[in-house]
Amino acid sequence: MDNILGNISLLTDFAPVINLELIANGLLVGAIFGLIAYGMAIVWGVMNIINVAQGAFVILGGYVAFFFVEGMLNVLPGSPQIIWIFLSMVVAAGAVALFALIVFRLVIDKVLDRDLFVSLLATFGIELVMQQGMNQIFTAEERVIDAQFQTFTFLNNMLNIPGSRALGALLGIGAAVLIVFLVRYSRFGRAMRATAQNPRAARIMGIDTRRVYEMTFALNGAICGVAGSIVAFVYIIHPFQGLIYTLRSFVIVILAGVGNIPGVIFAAFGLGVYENYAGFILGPEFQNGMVFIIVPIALLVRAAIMRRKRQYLK
Amino acid sequence: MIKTSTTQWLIALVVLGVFIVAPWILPNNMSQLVDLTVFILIALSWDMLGGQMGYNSFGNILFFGVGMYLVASIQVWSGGFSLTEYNSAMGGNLESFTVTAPTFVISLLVGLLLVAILNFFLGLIVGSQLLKMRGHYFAIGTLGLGVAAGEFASTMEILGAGSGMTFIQPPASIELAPLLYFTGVFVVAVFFVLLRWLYSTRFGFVMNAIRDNEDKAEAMGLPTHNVKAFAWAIAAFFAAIAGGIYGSAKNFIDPTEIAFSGTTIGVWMLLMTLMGGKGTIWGPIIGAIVFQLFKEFFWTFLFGWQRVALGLLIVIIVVFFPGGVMGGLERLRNILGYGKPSAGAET
Repeated sequence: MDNILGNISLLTDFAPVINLELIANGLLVGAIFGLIAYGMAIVWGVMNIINVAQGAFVILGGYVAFFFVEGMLNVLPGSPQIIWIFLSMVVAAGAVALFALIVFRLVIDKVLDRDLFVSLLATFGIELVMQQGMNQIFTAEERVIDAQFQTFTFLNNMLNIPGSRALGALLGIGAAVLIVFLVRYSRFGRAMRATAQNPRAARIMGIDTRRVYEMTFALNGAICGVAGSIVAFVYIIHPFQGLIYTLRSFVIVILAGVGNIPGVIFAAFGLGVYENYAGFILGPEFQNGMVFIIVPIALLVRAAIMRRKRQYLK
Repeated sequence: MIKTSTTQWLIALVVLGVFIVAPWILPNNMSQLVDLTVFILIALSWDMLGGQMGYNSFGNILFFGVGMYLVASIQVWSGGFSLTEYNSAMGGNLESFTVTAPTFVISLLVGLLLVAILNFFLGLIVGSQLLKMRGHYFAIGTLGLGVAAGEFASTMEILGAGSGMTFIQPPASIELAPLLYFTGVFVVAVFFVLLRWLYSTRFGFVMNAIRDNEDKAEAMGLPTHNVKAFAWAIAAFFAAIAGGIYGSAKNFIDPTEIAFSGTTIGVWMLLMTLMGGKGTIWGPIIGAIVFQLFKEFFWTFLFGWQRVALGLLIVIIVVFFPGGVMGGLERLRNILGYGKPSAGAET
């Protein structure tokens, strides 16, 4: 307890600049998780499916990016790595989108009009297959694209921001903006939103909703691929880390509220800052627990608010 | 809508007989048999909510894990040791922490009962809050609870933090596996009888009414909220016993891999129920047996790829056989022409 109070006073009295670092780190982390959560929110909102395999898609994207960069550097030694890193985003997006398409055809298509719980279990099964399959194929070794970015320092070395994180956050935000425009202004985006609002009416209007679902899931795959290639040079790629990304995106989408797509971005940044503060004040070992405990708490608060109107979270 | 017919009780007795003689038939598979009783317990307790009440919970693992930790702690205390000392010595000189045979057995059995009662109240408290949510929000909320519990357990120094905790070593004169097995079989039998009785009472009918249409049930003036919380508390009672037995059999607690392992046991319990057929009393039992067979098969013949096979099994069952074994039997009976109308075995 003294420890916690000490940390709080450290924040308020002695070193206000620590606050800046915590916030900056939170925002940078939030940008990447926000991108992943964004894909989950789209699938959830349009298809009413919670994709538990989201994290596994991200890790798959990371592996594709890692092996692409490594392979290219072997084929063309001496070429600038940064080009391959940028290209790997495109390659990973394409590869994971293709994989997502296959998964959709094989499984998701058959659970679309069933209970949400069924699709939850089905995607959980996919997650398990992908996780363990990647563990067998790529081994449990931790992979990382070593891009050797410099660390930026501000305020007399008090505020450190790793270049890889900054670049990752920028790319994540860029990808998110691209998708927002796609959803808002393209013909496919309009069909997607129509299907989300009322699938039956959309079908009457001549929209091939099954195709929309298919493309939505593939789009989610592409988002995960991009996110995975970012994760590959910012953090590490490991087959068993997928579930962490899934759960974080879960938390973000729940905090934003399902169907509230713009809210996802704010929730992602908010969660990033919150977990950094929680980790600093309570100690790093509490960071994950504090993230996950917020799911039931947020849901309970929303349930309490809705109960006053005699409604229920359904 | 279960009628207590004599044939069904006869079948139950025969099954119980098979379970009692099983250790003599399969003397080399005692640990698998102990696992089986645990699986039947958790599948039955999950089915109370998931099958009979329509509340798909991922959070039963909470009681499983809490039960496991508490039984281990009670056994340590029964020897007069402090938990902090015991856990900090873990891996080192465990020989100095021994208990006599009677203390071991009594602390195990009393501990299981005590822990079950504690978890009953825990279930009542947690359930009265969480069960205000419905549908998939309930599923997600309970999932968060289970995962968070594992994370918090791995920060607690007194419980051995992230490196986990061992159960106290059984004295040499005690054969642990048969003790746990027969305890498990006894609890399963009690649970089965209790559930048969419960589902035929008004309480059981209210549970089914909640599953079929909660708004209407509430409009009828049924005490839905109390019934939900109470049902979850009963499920928690037995899930905690299952956790205690499982941990004791494994002789080791890992906070996120064994105790609060939402991604293995937490999902297996509903997978077993789905395999057998949810919403039926025999479904979870059959499902647990079938699942255990599949699992052992995968672990023996597909080693390395066993979890991939398990994932595929989940997908195949969920997508193609949502009704499970009991649903299949029901369909077969309908095809043959002497079935009763399906009682909602399917989703």
